[in-house]
Amino acid sequence: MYSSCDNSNPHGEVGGIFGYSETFGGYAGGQAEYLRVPYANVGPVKVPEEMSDEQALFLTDVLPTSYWGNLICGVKEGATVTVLGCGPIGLMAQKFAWLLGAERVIAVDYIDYRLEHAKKHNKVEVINFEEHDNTGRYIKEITKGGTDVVIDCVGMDGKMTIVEMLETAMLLQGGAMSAIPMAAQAVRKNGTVGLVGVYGMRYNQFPLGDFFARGITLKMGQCPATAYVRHLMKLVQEGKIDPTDIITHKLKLEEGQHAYEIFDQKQDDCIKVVLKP
Amino acid sequence: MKAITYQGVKDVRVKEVKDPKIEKPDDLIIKVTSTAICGSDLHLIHGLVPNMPKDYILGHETMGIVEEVGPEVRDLKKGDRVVVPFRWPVVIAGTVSMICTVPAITQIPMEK
Repeated sequence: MYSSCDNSNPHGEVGGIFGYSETFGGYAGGQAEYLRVPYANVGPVKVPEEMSDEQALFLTDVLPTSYWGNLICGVKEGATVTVLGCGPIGLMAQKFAWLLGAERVIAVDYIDYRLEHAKKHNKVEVINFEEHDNTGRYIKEITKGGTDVVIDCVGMDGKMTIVEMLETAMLLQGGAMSAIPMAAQAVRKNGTVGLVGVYGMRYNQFPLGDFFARGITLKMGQCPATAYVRHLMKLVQEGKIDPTDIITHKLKLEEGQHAYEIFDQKQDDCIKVVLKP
Repeated sequence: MKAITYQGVKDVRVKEVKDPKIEKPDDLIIKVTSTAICGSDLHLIHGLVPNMPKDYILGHETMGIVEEVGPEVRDLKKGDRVVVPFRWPVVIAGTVSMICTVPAITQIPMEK
């Protein structure tokens, strides 16, 4: 329940997050030369000398979030798993699915270089959703009924339909939702869909009936990252999981504006930017 | 110090801002050695998250070296290298103490 902290955020129902608006507590973020860390007796975790920054940095969010996405969906030996999204979280979720014993892992995106990365580094089956009229149904077909688990690592910033764009601009819709109907079809009956990608506010056209008719369990939320940091640190140290291949750019903090641009616009085959003050 | 700041939708800028300081006895300050941009930071600059003030410093994936500790910080000291999870488990009272026995503040349940 770490992520549901009652104390760290006087402004909302979620616990506080660094650099994530007044709604999430109003704490200054860490893309800076110095960072104030409140509640220091329970947050920060010491890093062993032999770990590089690149090995340790993603213990802050990417590793716990992608691991937890698998855990809440009950991924275990023999599971079949679809991961929607091949950004940093999706790519790591694919690795954790294998580590937890999955027998089949399918990765979905529309950006070719990211699908290539997934195929090359994670040895997953890849599907470009722009090549199919209904990717959810396609996955259902090729897996004979859907995968046990679908982990949505896309969230509200996925590719929007024109209607979603208009509705979002008018504050009638909380961003894209296209990954959710896809998940509702790609999962097998009585399977589990986990939403790890962030969603906000309310959504029109939510396919509740699809989930109901097929008896699907829906899990979601913000990962209680701190609970997993030490365990995941051990896995990185033991070489069981390697988060460093997602780093495509190492830039100076001063280049922050450029860093945001290439990451946002998916330029220069950008997957993850690490900034050095 | 320099920091990446929110200026408005699709507008971030590296600016000179005030250095943070210890505000509460269990705060600490780190000198950042590495920080990353998260996909969810893009939600902020796309205007999908409300209540973003101008000049607000972004970023929640950060690690560094402890520079200064407040008087109530127990196990960390200046010079320690730390990762800072994007959100912290505040288990001082309330909900969390229902799942881990008191004093909850000292406990971080871990996977075996």
